[in-house]
Amino acid sequence: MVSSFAKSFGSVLYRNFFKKESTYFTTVVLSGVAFSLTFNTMFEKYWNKKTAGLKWEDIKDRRSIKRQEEMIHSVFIINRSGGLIYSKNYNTHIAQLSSNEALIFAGTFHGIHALATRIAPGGRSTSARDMGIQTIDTKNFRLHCFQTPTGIKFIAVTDLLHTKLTDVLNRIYELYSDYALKNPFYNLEMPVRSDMFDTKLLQLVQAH
Amino acid sequence: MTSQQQVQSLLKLDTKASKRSTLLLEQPVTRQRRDKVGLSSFAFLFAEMIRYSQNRVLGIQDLEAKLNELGQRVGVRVLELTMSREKIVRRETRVLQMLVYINSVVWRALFDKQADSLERSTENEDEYMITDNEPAILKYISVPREMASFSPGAFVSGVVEAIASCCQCPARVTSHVVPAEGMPLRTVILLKFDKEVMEREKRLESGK
Repeated sequence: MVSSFAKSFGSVLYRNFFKKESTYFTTVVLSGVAFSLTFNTMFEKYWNKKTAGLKWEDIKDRRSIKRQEEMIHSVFIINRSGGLIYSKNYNTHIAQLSSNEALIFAGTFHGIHALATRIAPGGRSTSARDMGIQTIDTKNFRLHCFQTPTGIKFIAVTDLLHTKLTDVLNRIYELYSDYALKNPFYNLEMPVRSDMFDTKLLQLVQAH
Repeated sequence: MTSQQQVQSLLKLDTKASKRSTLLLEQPVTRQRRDKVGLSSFAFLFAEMIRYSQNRVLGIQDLEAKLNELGQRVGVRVLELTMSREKIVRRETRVLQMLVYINSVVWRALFDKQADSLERSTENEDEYMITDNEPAILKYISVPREMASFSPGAFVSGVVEAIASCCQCPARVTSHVVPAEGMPLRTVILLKFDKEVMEREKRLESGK
């Protein structure tokens, strides 16, 4: 019974698939494609299940959060008499200075900077930008300072990955001379209130 | 050496100097190659003009009127200069031709580009608008919030107003900042022609 069934099955198989060369070939190719497709999808499923949460797509966002930490946290501008004329915070994740604290910071920094220019031993540097404090390093952040020949100080607080910020501070100086000094509504030595300056500075900070 | 000889030798020196000189003000007026003035130097001058006017007026409207007046002085001269440079002997007296002249020739002489659009108002027949997407003179100016209605483009509208009245088409010209996507300084200069101008236009139109 069984053998006759197997025999008839075999003969059906033979008659339909193996007898003609072309059908035989097509059958082989089609079954091969079908097998590879099913195998691939099954394996993909298994692999996704096994490595869930470890792949690049999943950790990409977390990486970009980390990327945000490599940034300029805040920018200050101090006029030549030690008054704070601009302060802006670009990182909302860290503790913020209140406006009063920022003013005190500006005054204190101005004083220390002036002292630092006096206690330099040995050869005197003539250029204003080479004197005084240029960076202050702490464990969590680095403070960069750039002083112009007229005594205006541009200060940027960044993470530790920024080692040299001279070009960015120079760009801020450029923006200041363009959008603050050429603005008819700006008074020298007074706080900078210019929408254009705000937007341009934001663009600059976001690019770094 | 007699005094006459002295004078002659001085004159000789003078002509020699002016021949060699490349100073902007010593070049012939009809020179076709357009010499450019630095935008920064103009920005400082314009800022000082606004500051000067601001100390001598009572309100924003007054300030705009003052700037308009300053612009008119420029406008009269610009019309003369462009006409002599372009070797035009006939002054435009029709509204449309005059507007096209301002839009192309005057704008190119002043800002080195054409105005971005010239339109007729859909609401009022006697109103025309010249739009500049990036007016160079406003590049560095940010108007403080308490003066939000002030438009520094009043200077340009003064230029246009003077040209319009020189072309026998007196109009009231105002300027408005109409920010658009990506163009925060887009300025529209609105010309409202006097009644008799429009009547004359209609008469000339029907006479044809």
